[in-house]
Amino acid sequence: MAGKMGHTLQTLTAIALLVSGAALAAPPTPAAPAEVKLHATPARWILTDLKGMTLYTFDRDVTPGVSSCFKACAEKWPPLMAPADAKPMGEWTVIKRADEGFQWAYRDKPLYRFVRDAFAGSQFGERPENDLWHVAAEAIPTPADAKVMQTAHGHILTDFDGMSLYTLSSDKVVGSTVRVASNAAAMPAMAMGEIKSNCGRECLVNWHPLEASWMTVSTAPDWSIALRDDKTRQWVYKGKPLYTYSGDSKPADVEGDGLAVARGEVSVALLEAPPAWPNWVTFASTDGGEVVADPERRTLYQFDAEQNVNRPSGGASERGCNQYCLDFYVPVIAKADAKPVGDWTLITNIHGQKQWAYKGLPLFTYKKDARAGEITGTKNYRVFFPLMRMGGAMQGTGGS
Amino acid sequence: MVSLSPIPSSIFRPSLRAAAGAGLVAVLAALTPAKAGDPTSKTLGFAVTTFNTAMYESRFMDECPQGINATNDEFWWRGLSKEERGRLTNNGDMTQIARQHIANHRGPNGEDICQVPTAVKDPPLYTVRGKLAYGMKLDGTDDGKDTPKSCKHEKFTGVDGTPAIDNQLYRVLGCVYGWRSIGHIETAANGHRQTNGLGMILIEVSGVDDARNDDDVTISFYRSVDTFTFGASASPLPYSTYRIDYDGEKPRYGDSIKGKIVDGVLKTTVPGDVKLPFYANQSFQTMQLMDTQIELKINADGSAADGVIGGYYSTQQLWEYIGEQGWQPTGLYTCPGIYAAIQKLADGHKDPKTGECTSISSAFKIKTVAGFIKHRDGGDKPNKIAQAQ
Repeated sequence: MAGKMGHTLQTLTAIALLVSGAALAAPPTPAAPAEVKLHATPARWILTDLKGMTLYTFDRDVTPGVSSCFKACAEKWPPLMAPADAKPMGEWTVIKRADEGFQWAYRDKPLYRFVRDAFAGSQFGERPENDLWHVAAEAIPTPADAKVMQTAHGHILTDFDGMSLYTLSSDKVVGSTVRVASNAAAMPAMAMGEIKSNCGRECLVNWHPLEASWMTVSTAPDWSIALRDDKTRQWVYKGKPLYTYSGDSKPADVEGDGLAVARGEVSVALLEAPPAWPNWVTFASTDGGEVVADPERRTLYQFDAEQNVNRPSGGASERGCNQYCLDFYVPVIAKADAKPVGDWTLITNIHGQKQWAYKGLPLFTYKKDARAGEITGTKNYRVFFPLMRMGGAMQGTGGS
Repeated sequence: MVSLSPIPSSIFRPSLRAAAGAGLVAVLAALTPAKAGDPTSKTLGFAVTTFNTAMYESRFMDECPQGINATNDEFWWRGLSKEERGRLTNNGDMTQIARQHIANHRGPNGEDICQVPTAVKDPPLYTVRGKLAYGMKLDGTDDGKDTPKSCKHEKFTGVDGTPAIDNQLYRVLGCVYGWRSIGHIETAANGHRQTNGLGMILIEVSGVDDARNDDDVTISFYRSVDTFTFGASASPLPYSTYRIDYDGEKPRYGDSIKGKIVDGVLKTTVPGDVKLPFYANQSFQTMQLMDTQIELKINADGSAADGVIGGYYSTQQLWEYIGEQGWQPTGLYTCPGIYAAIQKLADGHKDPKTGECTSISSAFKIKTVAGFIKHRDGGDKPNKIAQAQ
């Protein structure tokens, strides 16, 4: 299994490099005010300020064009201020804050930075235990039959139900494909390409073409529709017909990746590789899903001291994991020569130790987790919560 | 790979066929081929819908003559002056759950007494004084005497009259509000399990030649990755398909014990140690139930089976769960009191060095619905048959 996953990840990374190559243009980005930068990736574009610091939206901003984040909230999540003479443009609006000044909003959602973002491009504000804040980003346009999904394996294309999409290396599309403009007044005649595939009757038992209904037209860049031998219409992304795999049992499974099929190889439709992990990280299967683990496959827990403010003392305090806390939790201490990797940073804890942190939150193992895959350290309304490989909160731990 | 092919009807007695009528079709549907080398033996599958600490509650609560136990919050409250109560509770306006956080930190140095239950000493827990309980005879003795493996304890009589029942867990928790039927701990846990599908136990009975009487079957326990299908009354429906949880090619659970079926009642013949998935009130656990026995009465139509599973529960694991619940809205009990009672009443797995017992006899009432249990394509490695040491 580990071997296959290693192979899969190598394949995924290779595909990501291919997909993100010069021939595959980044998604188009909308115009933006002078205070904002648009950072495009093959899967999406992300809003940042001029220093490259990630911008966020807040779920509690429910009234269009009105911010609900003030005082302590605004200290932690500084609004992206707009000059007094800023003018709205396109989908960008300027809102007047109830405290003072003006703030930029995109599609009526006010924009914020996160003070604990440690470096340009970091997204520490999007965390599983506090899912009210989201990176201001938008996935590339897709037809209604497909979408972009952020998974443990990176940003991948999936069908409408979240099942991973694949391409077969031996597939070819011949003839011309015509993309129809989204503002076409009426459906024009389409010159569709034809799919030349080695995936015949037996192969199609497991590999299901992502079918486009007879009246569908492609309006998204890089997407087209091509005809199969049986005259069914199949969605094509950047010249590659797309399939789902019968061996995938749930959304974001990528069991088909790397398989040899139809005299070629199958690749999951990966747009953007996942963030890097330190080389000592392992993964463990648990009752709550796949978690990130240490080299002995003990579950890693993030500790969010700020969630602890109502718990005055004992256990873990608002300052960090104090002596009582250390009776149960063991800091993940970094080697002397350790270097930060992506969202993984190094902090000095309250005991003066150099400790690994993920998205700025210190990492621990739990002493009573006796074997790989145990998650008994999930405690106290997620003040300690397992670090999920897929991101997000572990189901059933009291959060989202 | 699940096999849905029907079984030979000969494994049912004619009398059952006559009695069950249309229900027989359902039984047939829930039976699936089992042993690769024995094409005639079949498998029964059940999904556990409720899993409750087995509590015997008499009409007038005779089992708890001292009453119901006080809570962390109450012990904390008792220790405060009126001025302190006002100061610490925003002049009485603080919500119960917010106050619970403070009450739990009533250790002399602010320790959380559910994490460090020895930080304070509460009055002894009111424990069960009644004579009846659900459960099994686990220690092999008739009188609960001290043995090299077990600690001296008082026996119960089974609710059905069976003598020499061991269930010290009931003795500990029987007079604690949250675990009784009026409390919320078990109700909330079952509700969560049914809605989010976490901690779902599958019971697979394989090697079945006769679904009503078979002297040699294997009982295996798995975790499901699929949730229940509910009917219009919001009750889990029988005959859904449940996939086993795998880590690669191996089931993440899958311990087995040997048993038999007598007149439709599944019973253990050789107790064994099994791991069970456990999820309740936001806590996960790989529950280690040692010397496990089970007794399940299978409905005449095969659509469900209800009964009791018992065994020795590690006191460390038990405390891990109860201590964590101290934070929850359901945590209305005294952590130090329960902790001390568990240590005092533990009766199994005596540590030869200290002479102290490290597990506690327990019993859990379970309800199940019949279902198809799906193994991975190509099958998985045979599970070892667990056997008590």
